[in-house]
Amino acid sequence: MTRNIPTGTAGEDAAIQVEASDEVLMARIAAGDEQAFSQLVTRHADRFLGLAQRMLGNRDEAQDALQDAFSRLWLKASQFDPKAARFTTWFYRVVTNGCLDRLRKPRPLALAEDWDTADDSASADEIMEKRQHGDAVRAALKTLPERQRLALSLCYFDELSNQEAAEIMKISIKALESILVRGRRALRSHFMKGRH
Amino acid sequence: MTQERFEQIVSAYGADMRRWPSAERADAAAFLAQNETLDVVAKAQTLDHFLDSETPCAPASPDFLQSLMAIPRKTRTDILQDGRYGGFAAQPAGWQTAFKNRPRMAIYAPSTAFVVAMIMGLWFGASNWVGTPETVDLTPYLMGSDIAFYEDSEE
Repeated sequence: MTRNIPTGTAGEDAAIQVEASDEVLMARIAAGDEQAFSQLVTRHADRFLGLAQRMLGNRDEAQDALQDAFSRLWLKASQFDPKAARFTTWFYRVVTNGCLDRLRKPRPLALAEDWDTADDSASADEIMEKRQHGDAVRAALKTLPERQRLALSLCYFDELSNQEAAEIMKISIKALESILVRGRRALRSHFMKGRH
Repeated sequence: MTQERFEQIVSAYGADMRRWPSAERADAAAFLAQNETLDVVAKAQTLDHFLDSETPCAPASPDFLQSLMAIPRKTRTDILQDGRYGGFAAQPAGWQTAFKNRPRMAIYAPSTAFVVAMIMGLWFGASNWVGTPETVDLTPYLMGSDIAFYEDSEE
C-alpha cells in the first residue's frame, strides 16, 4: 500500500512515498483498482518485455505477448495466492507460458527483428558493432530448443536464482542444471562455428 | 566441493560467481581460488563474454505503456459492447443465447410453454375419456365364454 509519511518539516508538503509490494498491489488489482494495475505495469513492463523479446526474437510479437499477459493478470488477479508463490514467479510463468504458446503456433513468416540499442549516447560505429554482436547472440539463442532458451534467459540474462527459475519452469534444480549445461554447450558450438 | 560438482556449476551457470547457486557459492569460490587454471572456467568465460555482448532490450515505449495501462478500461468496454471478456467469449450457450438480449423472455417463454403443454394434455385426456376400468365388464373374458361364442357362430 502506498503510504504518505509526513516529513515533519514545516511548510513542506513533500512526502516520502513508500512503495507497495507487488503482492499488495495484486490484492488491490483483484478488488478492481486500476491505479494499482498501472503501478505494476510501470514497475515490470521492461523486465518482462525483455524476456518475451528474447524468447520470441521479435519486438512486435513480444509486445503482443505482454499485452496478453497483462490482460490475464487483470482478469485473474483474484487467483493469485501470495502464500503459494511470489508475484514475479507467478507472472514469469504467465509470460513464459504465453511465449511458449506463441512459439508452438505455426507462424506464416518471420518478421524482421526490431531491437533498439539502449545507449543513445554511443557513436554510430559503436552502435553498429553492438548491433552485430547482439544479433549474433540472438541468432544463436534462436537456434536453441525453447526450454534451453527459457532456462538461459531466466538464469543468465534475468539473473534469477536457480530455485526461482526451476519453480517457474516447474522442474527440479537438477533438471534445470542439465538443461542449462546442454544450452550452453549448444551455444558454444554455435559460437565456435561462427568464428571459423 | 568436489571437482565434479564445481565443473557442473560452471558448465550450467557460467564463470561469473554471482550467478552460482547461493548455497554453494562460497565453497565453489574457495575451490576456484585453489584451482584457477581449470579449463572449464576458461571455456565458460569465453561463452559468457559472447552472451554479455547481447544488446539490452530497449525499454517499453510510452505508447506501449499507455496501451498496457488501458487494459482495464478496454476489458470493461469489451464486456459492455459485445459480451467479450478480455478476449474470452463470455456468451451463454444453447437456448440462453436466443434470449441474450431479452432476459425476461428467457424466464417467461419456457414457463408459458410448460403451462400450454399441461393444458393441452388435460384437454386431450378429457376428450378421449372412456371410463374407469371398473365400468368394463370383464366376466366373459375371464370365464372363457368368448370361445363358446365363436363355437356357436361357426355352427
